[in-house]
Amino acid sequence: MAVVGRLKAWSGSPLVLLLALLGGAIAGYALPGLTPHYTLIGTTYLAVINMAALPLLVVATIFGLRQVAALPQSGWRLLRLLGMALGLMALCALVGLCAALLAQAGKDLSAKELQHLGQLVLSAGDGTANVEVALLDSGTGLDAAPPGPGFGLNLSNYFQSLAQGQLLSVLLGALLFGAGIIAQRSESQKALMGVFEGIYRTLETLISSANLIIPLLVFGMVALFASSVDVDTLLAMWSFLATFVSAALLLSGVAVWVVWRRSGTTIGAVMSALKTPALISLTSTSAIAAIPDTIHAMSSRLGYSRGVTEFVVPLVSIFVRCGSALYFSVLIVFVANMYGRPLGLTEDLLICVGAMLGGFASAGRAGAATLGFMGMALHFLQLPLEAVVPLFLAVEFLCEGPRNFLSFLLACSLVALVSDGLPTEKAETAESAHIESIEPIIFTFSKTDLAMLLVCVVLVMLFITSAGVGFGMR
Amino acid sequence: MNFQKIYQFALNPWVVIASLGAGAFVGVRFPAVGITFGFVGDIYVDLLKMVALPFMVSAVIFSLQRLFREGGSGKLLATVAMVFASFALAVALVGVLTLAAMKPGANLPEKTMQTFGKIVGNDLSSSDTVMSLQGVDEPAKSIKLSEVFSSLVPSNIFSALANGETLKALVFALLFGFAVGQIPARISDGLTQSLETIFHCCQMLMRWLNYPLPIILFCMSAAQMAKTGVGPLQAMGQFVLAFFAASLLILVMAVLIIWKRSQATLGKTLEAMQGPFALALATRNSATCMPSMIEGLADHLGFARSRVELLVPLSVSLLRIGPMVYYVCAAMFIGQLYGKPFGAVELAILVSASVLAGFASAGMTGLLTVSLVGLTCSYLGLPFEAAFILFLAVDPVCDMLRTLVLVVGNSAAVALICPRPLKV
Repeated sequence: MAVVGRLKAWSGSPLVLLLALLGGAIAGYALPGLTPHYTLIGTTYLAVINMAALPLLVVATIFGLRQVAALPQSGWRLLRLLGMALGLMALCALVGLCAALLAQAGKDLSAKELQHLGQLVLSAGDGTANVEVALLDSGTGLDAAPPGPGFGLNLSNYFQSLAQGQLLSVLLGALLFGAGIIAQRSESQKALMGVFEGIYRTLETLISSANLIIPLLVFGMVALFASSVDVDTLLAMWSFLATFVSAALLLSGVAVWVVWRRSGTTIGAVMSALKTPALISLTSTSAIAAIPDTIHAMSSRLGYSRGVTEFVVPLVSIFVRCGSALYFSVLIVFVANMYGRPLGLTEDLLICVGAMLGGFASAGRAGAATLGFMGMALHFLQLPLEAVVPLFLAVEFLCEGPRNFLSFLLACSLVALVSDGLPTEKAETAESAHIESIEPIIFTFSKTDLAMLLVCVVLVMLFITSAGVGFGMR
Repeated sequence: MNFQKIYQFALNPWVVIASLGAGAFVGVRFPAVGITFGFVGDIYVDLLKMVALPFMVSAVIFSLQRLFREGGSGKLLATVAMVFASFALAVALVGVLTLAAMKPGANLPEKTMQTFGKIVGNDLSSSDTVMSLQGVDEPAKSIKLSEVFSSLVPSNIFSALANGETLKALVFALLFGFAVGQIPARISDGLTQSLETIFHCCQMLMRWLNYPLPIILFCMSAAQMAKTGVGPLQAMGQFVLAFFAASLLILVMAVLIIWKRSQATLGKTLEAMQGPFALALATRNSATCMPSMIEGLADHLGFARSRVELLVPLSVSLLRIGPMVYYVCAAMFIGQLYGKPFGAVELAILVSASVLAGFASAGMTGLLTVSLVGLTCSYLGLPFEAAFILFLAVDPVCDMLRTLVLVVGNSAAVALICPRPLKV
């Protein structure tokens, strides 16, 4: 156990992550041929995380629903949760829109930059970006079928929905089943809940053990990025990246503020509690990798109700991808500006709704797969999707982290907003536990210490003697 | 009491051989009648498959968790893991080397090859559901190790289960089992008890499935012989010979290890192993050999009793070297029949898949163990399903060898993990 603890501290430390980042950049730049080997561990890691995701979603929903139902005013709380999730999503889309409009992202690209982007789009056909798509796609994202009519809702066979990874049906089924279980007497649900809790904790353990290799993942991902990036693209996409990242930072600041105001602790405590999950969400390129650590941070360290946290965090990080909504709204404005399409109020509204829908529809997927959902909104604005996808794929690596980071922080703030009026569940903090277990002070002397002491005593005696002699001789 | 007798009768090697022989006779003499019995075998194989997947998943999670619970301190756990891993690798390599040296599937008469190829080959085209679902589709021309590696982890465990991707389910079970071992017993107790119930329930189902075994074997062999004739059985003779050689090699190595570790004379070592040896041959059930193994190691050779009592059940259920070497041999044999060249990558896949399959066979006996050959074969893109009955036909012999290797080899593993006995 001690070894695992040390490994965890090691893999979660910013210094190690920074080293992995630098190492990856150097390795990817110097030896681009070896990239498939670098990413091997990363893709395996993501596969393991995704493997745990679907069962975790089912079990966490049922288990969390039961815990929330046990809280006072549960119905009102659930309703508010739903409303706030929608509100947050809309807020993100709106902020993205405003930021992009204010920054005029994509409007004044120089002729040279436009030409470069055009070339990038043209060359995408013969496979420059394909490598990255393939690598980002493999293993990332559940194998979800594209939402057909009725958003792929299939309630006739729950096992089929599970096997095909239809997240919406899975979620609805789990909610209904959970509600049914709650309606039972507590003795008759006890055994089943015991099993679910066991599975739930196991999957949490599995994810947090897998998180130990995040530095290797960062190394591989950065190497992949460094071997495939070219600076001109980054420069041309600069206004998009800057707008998106700064808007994400702004909203993250707001989210942290909300968590702090509600927690009743110092801002420093909030920051230090959220550090580990924040680093994981920023670097893991997976929306669900941070779930176990987030739950720990929010309930044990910041004192929010564990029931609410366990219900909200998994659900929100899979279904309410606020970061995606922000990303999409900035993206659409950027494309519209690039093509010189004027945006009126109607278009703005359309963009907001499209970004929100995209945020919901991207549930459970990661990486490039989410881009496909922009087709509809862009289509309404009569803008081409296929043409711009390569551009965003090229910078996808840089957007993935902030997107997950924002989604994670907003999930935390949602927990903070919903769990008012509940007793704090803060676990004994390390400091307070430390005070009780102060060890008795023991003085020990080594031989050198004793010798030094002896010398000092002799010196002092000599001094006093000579002082006395001097005094007497005066 | 009566049921017990019927059960023993159904599993008696002579009864098995007699029913196989009778079936073969009917199949050869009256092919038209024999072929109509085929559906019985198909249903039976489907029943086996139905039990196999839950059996495997629950058994692996359950036994891994027990390893963590009872494996005790970290140091012992590390030793156990290391010895298990090296034993598994060593026996798999012995199997590979023996088969590569003897080439039982390569120098067969043309006619036998053809009939054999026909039955096994038919299977690929005839859309046998299980086979096509279980396999990675067509055997890729060059299998990349990294691809195999990342394809091992299921991105959606439910779809892996639904499609019968046994290896993926096994990887999930392994990871899940490791994680369950980490969480406190208070929380995981409910889950453990449920899994244990499923595990024992599957074992019970398998037991029930053994009752009609003579009739099933009769029908299966009748249908098979009616289709293909006796030719393929000769090929199986070669296989049994090769497997026997590999087993003998491992047995000798195991006895040497026990002898060196126990610091007793060779005669005394052999005498101590006599009990487990005889019991393994007679019962072909590793679980029933455990008391005798403990007696031999602790009382006769003087290993620390408390350690032996902990390690013997653990290793018998987890370190399945008998099935492992069997899977290696069977898959290589089929590969040789097909003239499939085994490169370094294929061999690496073969060894690791066989070790995994051996692990998956935890708690299984008899037919179910044989059916897991399909797991190894499917990963190499080899067909197995149709040859199932042929492997069953020689299984009375192979089962004895498997159990023997398992029991004696595990005694060697336990002897290696335990500290050397003190000489008084």
